[in-house]
Amino acid sequence: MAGKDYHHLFKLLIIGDSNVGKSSLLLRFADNSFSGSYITTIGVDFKIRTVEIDGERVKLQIWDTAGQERFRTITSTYYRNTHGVIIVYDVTNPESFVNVKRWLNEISQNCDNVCKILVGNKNDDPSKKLVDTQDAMRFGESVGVRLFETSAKENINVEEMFMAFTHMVLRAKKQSQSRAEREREREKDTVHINSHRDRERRKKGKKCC
Amino acid sequence: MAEITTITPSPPGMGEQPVPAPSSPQPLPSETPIPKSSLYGDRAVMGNPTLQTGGRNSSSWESTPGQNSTSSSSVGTKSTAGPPAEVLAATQGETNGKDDLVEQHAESQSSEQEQQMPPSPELNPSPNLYPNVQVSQTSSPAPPIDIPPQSTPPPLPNSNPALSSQDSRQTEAQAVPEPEPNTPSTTMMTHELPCTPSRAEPPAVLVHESAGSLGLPSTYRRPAPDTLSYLESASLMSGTLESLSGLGEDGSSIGSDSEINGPVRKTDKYGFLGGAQYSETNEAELAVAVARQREMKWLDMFRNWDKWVSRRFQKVKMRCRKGIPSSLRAKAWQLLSNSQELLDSNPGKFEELEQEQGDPKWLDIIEKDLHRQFPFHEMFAARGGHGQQDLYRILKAYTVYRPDEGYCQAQAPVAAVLLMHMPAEQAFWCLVQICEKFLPGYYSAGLEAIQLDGEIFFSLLRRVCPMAYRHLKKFKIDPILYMTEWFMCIFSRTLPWSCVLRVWDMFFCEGVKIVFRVGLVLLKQMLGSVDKLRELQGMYETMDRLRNIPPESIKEDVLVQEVISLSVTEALIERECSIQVRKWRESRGELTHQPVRRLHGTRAIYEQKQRAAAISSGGSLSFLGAHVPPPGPLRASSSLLSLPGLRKSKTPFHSQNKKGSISGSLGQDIVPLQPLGGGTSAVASKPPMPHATNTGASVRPPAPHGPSPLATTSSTTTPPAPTAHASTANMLQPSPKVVSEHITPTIPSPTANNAPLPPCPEITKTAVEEDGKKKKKTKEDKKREKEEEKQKSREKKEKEKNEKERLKKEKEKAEKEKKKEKGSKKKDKSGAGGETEEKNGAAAAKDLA
Repeated sequence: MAGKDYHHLFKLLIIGDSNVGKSSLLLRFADNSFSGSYITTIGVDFKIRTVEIDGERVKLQIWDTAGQERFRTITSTYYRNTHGVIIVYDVTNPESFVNVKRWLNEISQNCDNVCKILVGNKNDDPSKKLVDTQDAMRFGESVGVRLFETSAKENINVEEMFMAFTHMVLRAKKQSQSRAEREREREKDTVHINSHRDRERRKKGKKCC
Repeated sequence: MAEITTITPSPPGMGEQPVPAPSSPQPLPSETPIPKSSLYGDRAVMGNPTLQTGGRNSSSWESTPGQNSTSSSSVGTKSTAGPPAEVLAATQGETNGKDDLVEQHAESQSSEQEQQMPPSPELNPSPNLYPNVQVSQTSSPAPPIDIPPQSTPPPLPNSNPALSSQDSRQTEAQAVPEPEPNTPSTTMMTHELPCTPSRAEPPAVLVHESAGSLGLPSTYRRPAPDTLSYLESASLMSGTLESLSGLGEDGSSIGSDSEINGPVRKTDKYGFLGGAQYSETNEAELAVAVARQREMKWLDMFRNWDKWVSRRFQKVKMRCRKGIPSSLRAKAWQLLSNSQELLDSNPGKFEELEQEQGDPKWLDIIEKDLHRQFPFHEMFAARGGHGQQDLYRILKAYTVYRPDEGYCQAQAPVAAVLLMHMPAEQAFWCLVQICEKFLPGYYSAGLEAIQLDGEIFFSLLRRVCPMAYRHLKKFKIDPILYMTEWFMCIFSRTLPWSCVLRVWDMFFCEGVKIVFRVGLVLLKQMLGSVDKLRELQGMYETMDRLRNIPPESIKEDVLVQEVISLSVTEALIERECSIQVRKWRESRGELTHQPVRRLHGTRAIYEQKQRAAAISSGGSLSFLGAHVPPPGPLRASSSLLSLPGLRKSKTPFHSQNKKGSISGSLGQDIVPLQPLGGGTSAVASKPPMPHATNTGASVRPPAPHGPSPLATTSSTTTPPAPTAHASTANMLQPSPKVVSEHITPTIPSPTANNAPLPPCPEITKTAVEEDGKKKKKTKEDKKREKEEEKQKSREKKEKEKNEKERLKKEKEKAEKEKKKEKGSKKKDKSGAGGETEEKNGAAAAKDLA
């Protein structure tokens, strides 16, 4: 911690079909801006932002990926040491929502244990919305993933989504830490018992001699 | 400069007709919707300044017609100038006029601003409506003045025959796509037209006044244009702020400036309205005389292109490294890549391809990408604009041309760069050459080639800059994290635009070697010293540096010089490639797509062409000898027989790569079939080849992969022997399924590919032997022999590959069932999704074929 300007460093990954707004979400959250002039993400891009949660500084390293299917073969590297994955679909594009299953499968193949969140972006025009909120929530519940609907364009729910997810990741980290501590205590007890046995054996040895 | 000179004949014509006036405002309305989303907030913040901006826009439209009228007078001046000397003088004047132009433009803008200040309140109520009115007004006079521009071109040929021939060529090239790209070209001309009038005036002054007197005024005036250009770029950079986090702080300050002064939309000399790749007008330009000399040298090379490439290639390379004159860049790229020849030998082909329906799957993805390529470039800024339309046509045509490849998102920026320089048809064939000769496999499903090059790149980095290598290794920054976009987009999104063009000039001449060198130079510049590494004590800091290259690391002249002097040769890259391929197999298993031999630039392409021609003559002879009895009575068939040899010989390496699979398949073929039967089928299948070739080769000579499976399939239907026929009939069933349904049955596809393959290797082997004999005579041939030896070893490896592939397929099935082992994860990654697996399977089948 000494010398560092943060208490926790989390790596988040944004995945999802092409053109669902992954880069827009990242730019909105990291720089609080939106542009109509994005370029397709080729390979990987990332930004950083530090937030404060319950008095602790959390540095978020957020990676943005290429959504086209044939780029998946090179994304295994991106998943390394990832703490959380954000799966984005476009509420105006039902196909991108259907493909969420594939993306979830992609995650399970690359990560053993990672936090996940489902994001329906472009949720700013009811007349264009084609993926119903209820359907999405139902699906989210069925796979155990929380759902947020956002609009990077209109800055709707973006901050809330990222903060909630960061909370989730932080909580998961602390839980795993507490588990680790318990296990250490058990190990100590085991060591103590073993030392007892050793002493007894030594005593017996003396008698024999 | 030269580019403007080349465009000179048409601007006067355009000047005579007010067409540019209506065309220039047309894109603006269409562009407006896009920035509205971003400008909406700005407007709220700016308030009145925004309205003033609108007023200025209208004023700029008003100024355009005036400038056009001025250019019409310049037309008269040029028409009277008969002697070449005067033309040259005029050219020099025009060059000097550029600076004057900027100054005059600045003055006119400032004066216009002053004038507008009073009427701005009146304009406030309807700033949008006013431009529309102007549009309608200016559009009406366009038709009656159509005649004058036609008379413009004739005078130029008389004045300068050499230039006239070149100009006429470019004019013709421009004429081809004329109906559709009229607006964008006009728009570009509109931006450049202001240069014409001021250029015309200075020549007289130059003749009479001393250079010193001219120097003083330009020096005196420079501060004004610099300030304005800064403000323009600043306002545009504020838009860039949204896409470049690195400029966040600077962007905010620039934003405040833009709020005060308001943006004035003007392009740099490359067509960029803003963004990271916008070039300041301060850049020093070549002296006119030097530029002219270079143009003349290039024009001479164009006239004797084959001689220059075959005998004086080092000179060609040297000139490419110095930079191709912008006026001749498009032509040069087409010759360097040999796409010109593809275009000439495939008349009407591009139109055919783009008129086909195309796979909806690819078209859907392409459409989503059109507006996300160089959004700050005038050609691509307007959604649905001509630039985006042409981009769609090219990318779609490619998916039809190479359905096995489809569309890769990284192809879009590459295609866009080509479109900035040449019409759609020419750009299409250039794209074909890049995807098939220069960077084969880069855009294919699975992206294996780019990953392989990533490993090669890292290995080369260890040699070139061990310090950077260790640093990246320490933080586990894989090459794939930073070089993917660099290599797949050929740095078109990474470097300042002047650097991009210099890199592409060298790339077209020297091939992928340049891409490796540029990447290595960048890393060396950023991570090559202790001082630089001190600031990067973490993965994030390092990645951030790689993602946002500091400007001082990419000075054009320094970058080019470093790239030229870096000792990374084609041979070294090929050696590393074989090493990394071996490692890949050891660690990840067999490559799904066999590495296609890539051609290292113009010389390699030329040599391949020559080799193809040589093999063609030999091939035709062997065909004649082999088929004397069947086609004896038909002379036409004998001439047609030369075609298959020609087609195959054009891709000797591809066929040799196939030999491995062919040999393997031959082994299988012999087991089930009697040797005599096999021989019969081999002999029988030869005659039908020319028929298939007529259909396939003539239509798609540049696509070695495409026609061969089709030809193979069709040839299997011909064998008359009952046994062979029966077996062939059985084989036929799976073949069409593989093609149409993209299904890859493990058992039948290899079998289907076995029957037709036998005849191919024999012919190719004969050709190769002949090549061997010829090559023994000269030293260059010795090098080729070495290459052949490598290919032979590759064939053996491929045989082994096939066997391994079969074993692995079985293993994959078992592992997929289990799904628990780690190995299954890796394979699933490569084959994520059923479609991907099918694609890979289909690709594998095609590779076997």
